[in-house]
Amino acid sequence: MFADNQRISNRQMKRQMLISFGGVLILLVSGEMAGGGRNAILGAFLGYGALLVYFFFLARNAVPIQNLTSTFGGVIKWLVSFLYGSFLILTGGYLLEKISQISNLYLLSDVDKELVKILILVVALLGMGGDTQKRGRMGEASFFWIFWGFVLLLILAASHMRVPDGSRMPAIDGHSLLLYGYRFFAVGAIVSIFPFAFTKSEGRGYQMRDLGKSWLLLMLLVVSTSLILLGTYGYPGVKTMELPVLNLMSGTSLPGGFLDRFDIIWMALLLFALLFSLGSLLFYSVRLLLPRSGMEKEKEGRNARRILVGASVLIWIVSRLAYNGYTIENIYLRLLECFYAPLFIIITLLAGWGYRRMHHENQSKNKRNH
Amino acid sequence: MMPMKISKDIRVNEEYIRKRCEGCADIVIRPMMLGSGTKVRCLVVYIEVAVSNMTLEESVIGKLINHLWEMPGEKIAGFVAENGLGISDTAEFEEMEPAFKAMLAGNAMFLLDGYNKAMKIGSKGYPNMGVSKAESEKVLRGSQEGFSESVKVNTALIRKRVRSTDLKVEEMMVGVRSDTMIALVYMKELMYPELLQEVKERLSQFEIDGVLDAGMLEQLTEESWISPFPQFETTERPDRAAMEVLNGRMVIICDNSPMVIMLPTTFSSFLKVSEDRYNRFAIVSFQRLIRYGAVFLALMFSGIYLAVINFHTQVVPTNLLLSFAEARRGVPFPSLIEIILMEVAFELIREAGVRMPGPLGGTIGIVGGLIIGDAAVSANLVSPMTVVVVALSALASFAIPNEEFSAPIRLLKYGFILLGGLLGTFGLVLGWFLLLGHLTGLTSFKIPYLTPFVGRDAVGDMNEGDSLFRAPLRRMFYRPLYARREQRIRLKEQKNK
Repeated sequence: MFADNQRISNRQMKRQMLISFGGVLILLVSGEMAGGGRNAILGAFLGYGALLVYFFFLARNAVPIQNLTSTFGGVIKWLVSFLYGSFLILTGGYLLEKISQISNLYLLSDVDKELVKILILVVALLGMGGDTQKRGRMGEASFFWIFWGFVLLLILAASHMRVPDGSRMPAIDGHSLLLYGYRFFAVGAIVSIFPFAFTKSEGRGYQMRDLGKSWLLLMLLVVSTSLILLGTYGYPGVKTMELPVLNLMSGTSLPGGFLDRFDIIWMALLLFALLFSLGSLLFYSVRLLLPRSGMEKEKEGRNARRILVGASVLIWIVSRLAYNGYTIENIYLRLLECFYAPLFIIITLLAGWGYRRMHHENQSKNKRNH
Repeated sequence: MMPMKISKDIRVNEEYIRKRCEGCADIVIRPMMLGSGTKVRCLVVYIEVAVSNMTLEESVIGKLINHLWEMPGEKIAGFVAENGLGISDTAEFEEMEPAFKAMLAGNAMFLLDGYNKAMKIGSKGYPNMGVSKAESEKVLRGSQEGFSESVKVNTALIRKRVRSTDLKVEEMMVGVRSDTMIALVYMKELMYPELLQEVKERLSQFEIDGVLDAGMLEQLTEESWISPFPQFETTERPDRAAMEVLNGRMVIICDNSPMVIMLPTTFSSFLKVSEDRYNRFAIVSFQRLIRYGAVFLALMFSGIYLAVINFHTQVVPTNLLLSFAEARRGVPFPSLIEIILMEVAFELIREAGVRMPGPLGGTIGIVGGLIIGDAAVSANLVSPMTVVVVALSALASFAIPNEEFSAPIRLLKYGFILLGGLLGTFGLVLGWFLLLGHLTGLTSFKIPYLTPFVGRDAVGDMNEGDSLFRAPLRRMFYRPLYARREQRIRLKEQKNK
C-alpha cells in the first residue's frame, strides 16, 4: 500500500521539475536566447556544464542547507529563511506579473489585470497547496500533456522554418559566451531552493543524476525553441519581438486545416505550466517555513495554509510594486543574476564546509572523551 | 433497557419480553405447552412475516415443535441441553440482549421453562427480492445475475464464484438502533492486512442510529467528505465483485442493499465494466478510449463551446463561425444563459425520467428530448447549435458506465460552463488546474485516486495492463496495485504443458 509519508518518487520529481521550469524557460528564456544568437545558444551548453557542477555540490550539501532552518535557531534561521523566502516571493511576483500580462494580452483582454492576478494566485494556491505527494502526482499526471504538447508545437513549427542564417548574427566572442552561459546558470540556480523539499523524496543518491537529466532535457527544449525561432523569424526579426514564442504559437497550423488557429491550445498548456510554476513557489514557501518535525497533522495543515495565504499576499504586493519606474518585471532578472545566484552558491558551499567542520570537531571531541 | 440474564422461570422471561415488546404488533409472542405427559411451558418469539411458515410441516421449527410435542415433559429440558434442539442453525444465549438481536434479525427465539438459556432457531428471515437481474449495470456478455438485498445471499453469490477458503467473510453489526449486518469480504492472501484494519477503524469511528444502505457507510468512512467524487465503487454484479476480490480489493456488503461497495477505488476503476475482461482486448481498449473521451466531453464540451464562441472565435474556420452566427440569429439570450437553460432542462428531463415508473420514464425522455428541444429552437429560445452541444454533452455523460461517477462530472460541468462562458480558455485552464489539484490530492484508503496514471514507480515493471488500454488477457500477468506486492502475479504461462 502507499504510505502517507510525504515522499515522492524520482520519476515524479523529474516530471514536476520539467513542468515547473519548462513553461517559464520556453516563454521567457528561449526568446532571450534567440536574441543572443550563437553566443547565447553555445552559452547555454556552458551554463549547463556549470549547473552540473553546482548540482553536485547542492546534492552533497543538501542536508546542511536544510539544517540552516531546521537545526539552527535564532539569527541564522531567520536570515536564511528571509533570504530564500524573499527570493521565492520576488520570483512569484515576477511570474505573476508575466502570467497576468500574457493572459490579458492573449486570452482575456477586457478583464481587469489585478483581478486576473488574484484569480491566478487563488487557483495556484488552492490547486497546488503545500503537500509534497500531491504536487508530485500533479507533476506526473500533467507531464504527458504539457511536455509532449510543447514538443508537438516545436515539431509543427519546425516544418515552417529555414536553416538559421548565422551570418546575420553577432560573431562568437568569449565575453558574450560567458555572459550568456552565466545567465543560463543563474536561471538554473533557482533549483537552490530544492533542498528544502529534499528529505521528502526517495533515493537521494539518484536525485542529482535525475536533476542533471531534467536540466539536460530543459536545455535541449530551450535551445531547440531558440533555433526554431531564429529559423522562422531570422535574427533581426527575433530581436524586435518581446516574447517571440507567442508569435511562433500563433503561426503554427494543424495538418488538414480543421481549426483556423490553434495557438489557444498552446496558450492553455503554457498557462497551465506557469500556474504549476507559481504553485511550486508557494509550495516551497511552505516547505521552507514549516517546522519539519513533531507537529500534529491538523496543526501542520493549518500552519501550511497560513503560510500559503501569507506568501500569496506578499507575491501579489510585489507584483504591484513600482518605484521610480522600477517594477519587479524589470529588476528581477538583474536581481537573480547579480544577487541571488551568487548568494545561493556561497550559502551552498559555506553550509557544506561549516557542516563538515562541525562534524570533524564533534568526532575529535568524542575521541578525546574516550 | 437494563441487561437481563435469562431466568429458569419462564414467567419472569415472558413478563420481560412482553414489556419490551409492548406496542410491537409485528412481533408474535406465542406461549405453548409441550410434552406428551407432563406439560412444559415454553415460549416462541418471532417477527410475524419473517417466521410465518413455522406451522408448516416442512419448516424446521414446525418439525421441532411436533417432535417436542410427543416427548415426555420431564425429558424436554435435558434433550434441549444435550442436542441443542438437534438442528444445525441454532445458537444459545444466556442474556436477553443477544437473544433479542437474533430474533430481530429474522430468527425465532425459543425459551423453555426450567432452562436458563434462550435459543435462536434459524428461519427464512425477512422477505427480500431474491436474486434478480442486474438492472443498472447491463452487459451483453457475462452473467446476468445481480445481488439481492440479503447479506447472506450476496456473500453466497460471491462464494459461488470464488470457491476458496482464502475468501474470508467477516460479519459485523453497524447502527445502534438498526443493527444492520455488514460483511467484509476479501481474499486473505491477496489483500493488505492494513486495509482490513483501516476499514474496521473507520467503521468504529462513528456511532449512528441506523445504516439503511451501503451509501450511508460510504459517506461515513470516506477520506474526503467534501469531494464530489465517489471514493468507493459500487456494483450490483456478483461477477464484478468476485473479480475485484481476486484483484486484492475488499467488498463490503450491507444488509438490505442490492449494491455492494468495493475499495480502494481509483478514477480508472469507474471506467471499467465487468465484460471488459470477457471481450477481446482491441475492442475493450477502443471502448475504454471512448469512455475516457466521454468523461472529457461531458465535463468540458459545453465550456469549450462557450469559450470559443465568446472569446476565441479566431480558432474556428470562418465558414463554421458564420453558420454559428446564423443559427444564433433571433435568440434573445446570451449563449451562456442559453447553455445553462438547456443543461438545466436536460437535468429536469433526466430526473423526471428516473423517478417515473418504467415505461413512462422512456416516454419522458423522448418527449423532453425531441419535442421540447424542437419547440425551443422553433420559438427562438435557443439556437440549434446549443441543442447539439448540450445533447452531445448529455450523451457523453450517459456513456460513463458508473452513475455515481457520472454525477460529479455532470455537476462540475456547470463550473466549467461558467468559467468558459465568463473567462474563456483562461477560465477553463484555471478550472482544469483546480480539478487536477483536487484529484491528485484525493486518495482512497491511501491509494492515490489517479492510480495508475500516477505512482507508476510503485507499480514498477508489474504493470497490470488495464488502465486506458487493456492488454490481451494472456499478457495480463499482474494484479493491480491494491494486491499485496508478493501476490501480484495473476497469470502464469505453463511452459511445460
